[in-house]
Amino acid sequence: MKVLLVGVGGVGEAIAVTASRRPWLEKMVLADYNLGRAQEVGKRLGAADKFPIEQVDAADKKQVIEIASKHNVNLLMNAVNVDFTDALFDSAYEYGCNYMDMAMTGLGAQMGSRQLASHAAWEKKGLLAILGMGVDPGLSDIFAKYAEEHLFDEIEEIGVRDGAALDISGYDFAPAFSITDTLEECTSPPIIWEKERGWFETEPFSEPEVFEFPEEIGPLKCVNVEHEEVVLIPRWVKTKRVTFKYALGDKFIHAIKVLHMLGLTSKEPVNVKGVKVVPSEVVAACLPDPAHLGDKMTGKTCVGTWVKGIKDGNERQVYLYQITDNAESMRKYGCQAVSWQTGVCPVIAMELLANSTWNRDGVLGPEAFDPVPFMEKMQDFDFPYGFKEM
Amino acid sequence: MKVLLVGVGGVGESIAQIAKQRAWVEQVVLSDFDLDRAREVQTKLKDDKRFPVEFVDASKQELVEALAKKYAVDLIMNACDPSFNESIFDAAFQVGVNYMDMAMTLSKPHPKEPYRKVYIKLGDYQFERAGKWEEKGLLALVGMGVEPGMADIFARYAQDYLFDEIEEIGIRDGANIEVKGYEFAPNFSIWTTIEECLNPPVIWEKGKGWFTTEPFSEPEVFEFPEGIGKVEVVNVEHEEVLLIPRWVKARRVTFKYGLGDLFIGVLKTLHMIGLDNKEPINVKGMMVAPRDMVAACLPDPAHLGDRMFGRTCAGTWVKGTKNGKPRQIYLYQVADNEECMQKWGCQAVVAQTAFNAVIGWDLIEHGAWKGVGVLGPEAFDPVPFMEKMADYGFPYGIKEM
Repeated sequence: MKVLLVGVGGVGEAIAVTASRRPWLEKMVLADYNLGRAQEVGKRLGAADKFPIEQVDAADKKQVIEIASKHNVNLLMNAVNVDFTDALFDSAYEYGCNYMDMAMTGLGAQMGSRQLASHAAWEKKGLLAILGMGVDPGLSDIFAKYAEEHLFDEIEEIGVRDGAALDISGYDFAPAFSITDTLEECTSPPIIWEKERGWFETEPFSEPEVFEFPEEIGPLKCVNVEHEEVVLIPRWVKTKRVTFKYALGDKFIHAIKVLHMLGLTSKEPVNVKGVKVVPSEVVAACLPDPAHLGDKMTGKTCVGTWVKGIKDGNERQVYLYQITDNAESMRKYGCQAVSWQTGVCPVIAMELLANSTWNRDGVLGPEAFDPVPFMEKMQDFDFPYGFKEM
Repeated sequence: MKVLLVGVGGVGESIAQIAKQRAWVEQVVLSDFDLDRAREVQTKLKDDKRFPVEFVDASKQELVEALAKKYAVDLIMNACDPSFNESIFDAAFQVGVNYMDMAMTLSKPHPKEPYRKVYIKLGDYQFERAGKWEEKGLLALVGMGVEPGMADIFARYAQDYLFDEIEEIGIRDGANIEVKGYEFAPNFSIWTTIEECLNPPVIWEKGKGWFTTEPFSEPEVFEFPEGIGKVEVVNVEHEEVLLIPRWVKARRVTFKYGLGDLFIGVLKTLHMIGLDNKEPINVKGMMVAPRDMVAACLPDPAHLGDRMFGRTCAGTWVKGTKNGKPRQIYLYQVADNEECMQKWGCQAVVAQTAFNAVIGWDLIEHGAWKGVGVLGPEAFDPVPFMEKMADYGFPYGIKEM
């Protein structure tokens, strides 16, 4: 498989490092706007033939298609900020290769609708686009599908729950994931799906609940956040309600609220002494780059899917989850926990495509596929899942 | 009197409006980095000859000097944010004219013990040059707004007329102003507010001298007069603490500001993220100071006047003894926003800052205040100033506590 990886930030690096150990990978082009960053990752990987470097403006379809043609790739892996998703999705279609991303564009219930609307066209062209194929969305959707097919007769509610006990030494405040993405998802109104009502919006940080995360992470307060799973899961999994809740922590929520109130989460450029600057990019520039936090981080991060329903006439609640320990992801892959937990998932999906285990065309979410082969591969990728009856 | 006004923001505009009413003010040159802003103010003043506009980059001393010479001014009035103080102050010295400002050159925290010890203090740069100004027979009157400024004059008045011995002088500033239509809209330059609120607050004590504490330290509830009521105030770095002990005898001097929980929460968050940083950082290839971005995102306080309701109070609380008995008083000035808008077309917080500078010009122009060197407002006789306050529309109040 030849892959054009667009975006070599923290997650892009994790994808490249993880894929470099798989036999099916012929080539992975490391393309980034910041050539220095792509070179930094390329240097780590060594094999320059297998991991060529390219500079790319992800907003420029012509450039993307040129690079895809030059390297004759059969998959475009989108690992940049969601702002570039439309351009990259269209580039893959026009050039004629498969496509995968880990976040979707559009607000609220409209998330991904532009992509999903072109399902028939992709199918007709014999191409596949998997949307939201990271850890959440991605693995969390696969868990939901697995619950439907193997653990429940009837599902009442599916709730993705994400929480971490990570400490970053030397920083008062240092998000472990893309700051602009985090600002965007935390300031957009969260959406909920219900069978009778369809999708609807709530207030940011609504419905706080304490969720008991496994291992030493323990109980954390989770709140509703806008997330792709709420849009994807109801399309392929039968349930009455879908939510996404994130254990953000009071300090983090307060900071986001303040930034939002001040207009600092905006993506619209403002005039700062004669220069046009995007406020959220200034916030991101003030904070440490999440791709370089690994050696300062300690602790574990957990992503999982809580499912409530009926099995054999009895009520049942389970939590299917994956926990990544930063010490382990650093030791084995040289990547920090949050980036690696996200980056390993598309590589497993690539492997299932490479050996034709997953074999469909069109524009699909991760839950449109058989979850079993994915979950069986996880152990082999040092990425075991856990399961808890509640 | 001819004045070069450097900076025509909210306070600058208000200075020009108040000065316009005074016949002895011959000319005020409105100079700003933002020429459109200077023109906007000029249009409101309706007298282009008396209020000419000029572009100025206040960080360039030679540009300030050239304007002072071009208009043969008697005084340079600095109404910029204090990061430009050095070049404007030095320009006045070089040209040989008097100088006035409303905030002093900035401090630098102690590199090892920022919350215990002072390092470079507010106004150090200016006071270090006091001898040269004296030699040249020039006056730099520093900190001549409301706080510092009027608050210092009140301290001096308390010493001269109300107390035999002073234990503590505490400037206390609080307001009940609401800005309608905005969840968050500071009514004063956010740039300066961040500077003064996040720098280690400074306190002066007899025997100990100047020392610093953690930001927002020693919270107390202070009861403000004229309907404002009880407001929680906290220590903030301010010029009065540096000025008052130089001319007024007291055992302790503090400055406390009624910031409110919302404002303190905002400042703490900005600091935690590093958005208070005034040094440019690289944002996708462009060099931008995060603090400038914060200021750019918020509404310009110069344009908030008609949405603001309420009152703002600046004043000096003094505790000591008189005729052998303990005494506590609060000398203050309360400005009502609607009233200021009506009279001056300027919002209360900026008008309350501006009028003091114009009274300062008045007293110098008419010989009531005479002095050379680098002096604070408390170096002068407080009585003529306080007598003028009502005439300028900003009467003072006094409350026994």
